[in-house]
Amino acid sequence: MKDSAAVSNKKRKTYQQLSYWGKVGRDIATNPVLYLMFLPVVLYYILFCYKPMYGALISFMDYVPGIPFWENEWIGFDNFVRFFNDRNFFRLFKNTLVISFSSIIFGFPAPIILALLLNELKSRTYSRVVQTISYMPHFISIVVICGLIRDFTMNTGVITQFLGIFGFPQVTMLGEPSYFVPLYVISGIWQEIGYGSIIYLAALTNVDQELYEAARIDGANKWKQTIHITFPSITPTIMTMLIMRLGNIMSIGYEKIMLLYNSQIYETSDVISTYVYRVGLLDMDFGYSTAIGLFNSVINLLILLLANKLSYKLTDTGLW
Amino acid sequence: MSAKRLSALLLTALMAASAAVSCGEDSPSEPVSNAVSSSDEAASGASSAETAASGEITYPVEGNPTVTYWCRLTSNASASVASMNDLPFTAELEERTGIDVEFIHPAQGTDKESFNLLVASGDLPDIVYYSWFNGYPGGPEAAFKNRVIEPINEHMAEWAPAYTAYLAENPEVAKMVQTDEGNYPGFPFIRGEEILWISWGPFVRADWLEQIGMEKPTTIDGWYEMLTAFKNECGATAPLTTWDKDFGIFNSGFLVGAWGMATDMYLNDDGEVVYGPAQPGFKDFLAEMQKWYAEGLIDPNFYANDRSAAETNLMNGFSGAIAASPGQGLGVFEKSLKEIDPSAGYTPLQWPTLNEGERPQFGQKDTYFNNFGLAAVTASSENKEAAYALLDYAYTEEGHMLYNFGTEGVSYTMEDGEPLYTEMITNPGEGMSMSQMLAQYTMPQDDFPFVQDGRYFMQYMQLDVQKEAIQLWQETDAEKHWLPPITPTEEESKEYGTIKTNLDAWRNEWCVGAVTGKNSIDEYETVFLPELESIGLERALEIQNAALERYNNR
Amino acid sequence: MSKNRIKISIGERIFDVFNVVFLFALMVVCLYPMLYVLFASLSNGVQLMRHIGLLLRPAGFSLSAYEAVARNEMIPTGYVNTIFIVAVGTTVNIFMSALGAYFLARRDQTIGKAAMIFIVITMFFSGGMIPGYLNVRSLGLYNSIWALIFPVALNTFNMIILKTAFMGIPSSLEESAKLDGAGHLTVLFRIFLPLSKATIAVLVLYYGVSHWNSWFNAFMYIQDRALYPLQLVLREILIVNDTNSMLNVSVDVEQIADTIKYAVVIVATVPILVLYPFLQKYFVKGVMIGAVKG
Repeated sequence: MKDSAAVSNKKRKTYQQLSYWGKVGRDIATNPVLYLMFLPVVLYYILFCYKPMYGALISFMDYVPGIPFWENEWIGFDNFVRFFNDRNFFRLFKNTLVISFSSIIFGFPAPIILALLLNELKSRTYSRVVQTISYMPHFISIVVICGLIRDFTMNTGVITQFLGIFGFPQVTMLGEPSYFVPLYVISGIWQEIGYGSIIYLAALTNVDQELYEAARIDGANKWKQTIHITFPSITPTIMTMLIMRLGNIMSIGYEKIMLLYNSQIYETSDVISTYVYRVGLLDMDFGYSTAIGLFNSVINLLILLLANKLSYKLTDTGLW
Repeated sequence: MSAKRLSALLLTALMAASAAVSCGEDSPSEPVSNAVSSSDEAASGASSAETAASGEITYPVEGNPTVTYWCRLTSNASASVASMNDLPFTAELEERTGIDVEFIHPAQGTDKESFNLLVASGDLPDIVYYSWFNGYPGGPEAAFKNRVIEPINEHMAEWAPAYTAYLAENPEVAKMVQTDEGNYPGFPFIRGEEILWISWGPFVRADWLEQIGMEKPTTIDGWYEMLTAFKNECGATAPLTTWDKDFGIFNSGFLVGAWGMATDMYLNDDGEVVYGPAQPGFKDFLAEMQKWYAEGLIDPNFYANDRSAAETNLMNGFSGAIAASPGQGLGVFEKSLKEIDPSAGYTPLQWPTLNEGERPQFGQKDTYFNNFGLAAVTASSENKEAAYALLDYAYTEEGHMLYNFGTEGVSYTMEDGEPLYTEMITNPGEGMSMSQMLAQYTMPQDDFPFVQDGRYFMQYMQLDVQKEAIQLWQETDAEKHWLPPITPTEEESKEYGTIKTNLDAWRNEWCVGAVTGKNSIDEYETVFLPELESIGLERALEIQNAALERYNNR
Repeated sequence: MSKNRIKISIGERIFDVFNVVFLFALMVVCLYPMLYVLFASLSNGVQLMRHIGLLLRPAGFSLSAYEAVARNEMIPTGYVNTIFIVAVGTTVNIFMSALGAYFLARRDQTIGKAAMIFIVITMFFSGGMIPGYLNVRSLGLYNSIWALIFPVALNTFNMIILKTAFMGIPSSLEESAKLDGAGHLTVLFRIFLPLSKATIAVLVLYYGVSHWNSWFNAFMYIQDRALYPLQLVLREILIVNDTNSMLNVSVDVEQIADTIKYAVVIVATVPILVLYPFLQKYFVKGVMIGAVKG
């Protein structure tokens, strides 16, 4: 993949002396087709992402629809201050992080493990059937899924009764603050494990099968093969997915939580998005909700940058 | 029908009482002298008949104008048509008014977002039907200021004589549909009679009452006795259930009303806005509910319930009492229960009181106009006069009949002066429901700018128990306590919104815990009240009372 | 390759058995929600209200929910629109993602890192609903089916996945192609794409599913109801049946409101479920070796 290898030694010297944009210019001159191929992508981002991006400025406005955009009143950081000063800010922030981190710690490895287990199945047909069925819950609307969760975890529900055999108390789980996060995380795994494993299954197809043959001849058992061959082969995919997942840390949708929580478990379940929803300002106060969104985005981006850096240090792979 | 006569009487009395109230200085300048006001016509909101007949607007209007009209597609209509343009109702309206209407609908369930996009685009139709009072930041006055819509004050007497006359005769309504500054933003949806204001109330298993040999209870003690008997003798495991989570079981002042308060903001006897959970007596209410809960009279999961949980409880006989709506609640449950056990059934109860023979002070009751919707003419419209004429037609006598009953001889016939829906409407063929047929020819099931007629309602309700419920549930003085449609200023409304959310969240968090026994009632003064104060209860009440004062001064 | 297995330890046998059993349990757990929805949609409304615990067969039997859904005349149009959007949209998506990923997968571009940042920023900062809507109007896409395709012509997340896959392709392959005189387009379409079949299959699934499920853009950008995609039509059916409208006192329709909800899920989901088994044939191990050797 070394285009510059084709460039002569003499030219390379001058290339290194060029300024940044000079180098870019040289790249374009050397590889016009490559840049032409990238042009539609750049155009897409400019037209559909960057052009309307001025809208993020709503965070600093008292925006009212109907007034031409630039004529809205500028109010500086008022929207942010209002949010930080909210009496619930700390609890919301904490719950958001706790739920998000728990989802990552337990939810992120689950599809990888599933993919590895599927990979070890001897029967391809069985593997396909498991794949196809395990990905189904992803398609069922969250309203239906949450209805099932609530139903099953009531004091008389199927899951509560089942756990009762092992001595768990027969209580309505969604009335107990300490049960919320586990329920949220486990149900998340239940719904997404199959769909999430697809990407890893695809990555596993690229593992060089000859490596296994060689390992077997060397007497490595399954476990060692997994650790030394399979896992390293899919590490770039895992890291890419992990970094992007970490870059979503503040983005917990309100819908699932709204469907599961109640006032008895606010202390562990109320997150930024549900609060904003409850304040009822989503539709009325664009400035406020955009400001909260921007706050989340900045944290997300910082975490993504940090994760990317760490990833380079640890595994020599990353987003760029 | 005695119900109708009763409500007409009530309304006449109400109007007589309110006649003394001034319309305020910005009220319509042209008094309509020739309007007739018999009680019957006033009750049905069609009293401006004479005005229209006197020819101030001659329908059909000349020149065959076209008007564009943004509104949501009513759910019942959507079962049979993709747009209101295709309704027989619209065809009739267009023919009578001589105005072509072009409806534009947002996708269902996206009204708010679509409205914001519509307004932001600056490309507005002639008419926009929306909740302008609470749906636009800053309310109608901000919309005037931003040149989105215009107040109709200037032209209403000339271009909308029927509506002007209606307001002149119903000063109480006029007060509700204007801003604090005295501007009229447009043409509202009005529920013309008291029976149309009822949409919630308690009902219990009639066969169980019989089984335990009890009369319908009217007091808290009676309810306690009844629920205890449901539990002990009828096998109920969650005698009183609900379909609203958190503190919703006590919505509309159910039970708590007996102690003289609601769980939310309301008007006290001095006409001040107060917050129920902070009122003396609320603690006693919580203590009583804690006792009920501990004794297993209240659904143990009441704070986490939803509709389907309530259905399961009711249909399996785990529960025998609930407060809910007459249609989706009482109607559906009654019909479904009968399918399971024909001898079972529900009966409505009055709103419970503390002492025998008291008139309930709280309960659910709406009013003429409750911010449902208002058709405003946009500032950029080039067909204002035609837009006014189209909207004004709903308030003429012919228009009133068209909106509520449709076309005579097709969807209704007059029998002894009473409009009766035809067989085609009440008993449609396979696959169609009365709602869907009504939606093709008429409008009364959904909010739309016209005056809803009570005579529609009684024909619409299919079950006798529903009719009985409406009669029983309206016997309260709730109208004395419910907040009128007051509007905080734009700045205040944001502040109020945040405080109110936190107040309600804390109320739900602590009070539910008090009922379930997790929180001790003794901490009401030491924990609950101080927290309410620190959230900003005082400031919230200040904002509300200022808004109320501006409202009262309209 | 399994026939070449040299020895299987006891531990591995135990693992295999455990694996088969565990995955079977997982399958049962994951199948249940779909079965529940199917059974519920075929249930009698009242019996379903009454039902407690696991639903292991329809509670009573009734097709009235499906009849109610079928009565909506917009469903066939919705299907046609959605199929068009999924087919054309996904094609555009794959093409755009391939172009973007090909460029970003090269480590030797000076601008590479800057380009990546240019792209990643858009994952975090957007203009929000209103500027996006005004933008689509100003581009003349409003109320056109293309408004459901171009604004989502590319998904950054998916493009990065493809880029990761491209980066795993040995550079020797490209170099030998270059020596044979292949240009960038040839390298991308003749070498990179065929070698990333499995990842492309994943992207087809991701993009296809997201087009299939999307309704939000449609409500923003489409006014003409004849252009509504299926999900928007179905969402309306749900909303209409779910409104706890205080104004509505009608009983007849409400009894089956719940079963309609489930029937809608079935109608909306089953066609897209078929996509995955169809794509599974691209998840074949050892593609790479064949390519290198061939």
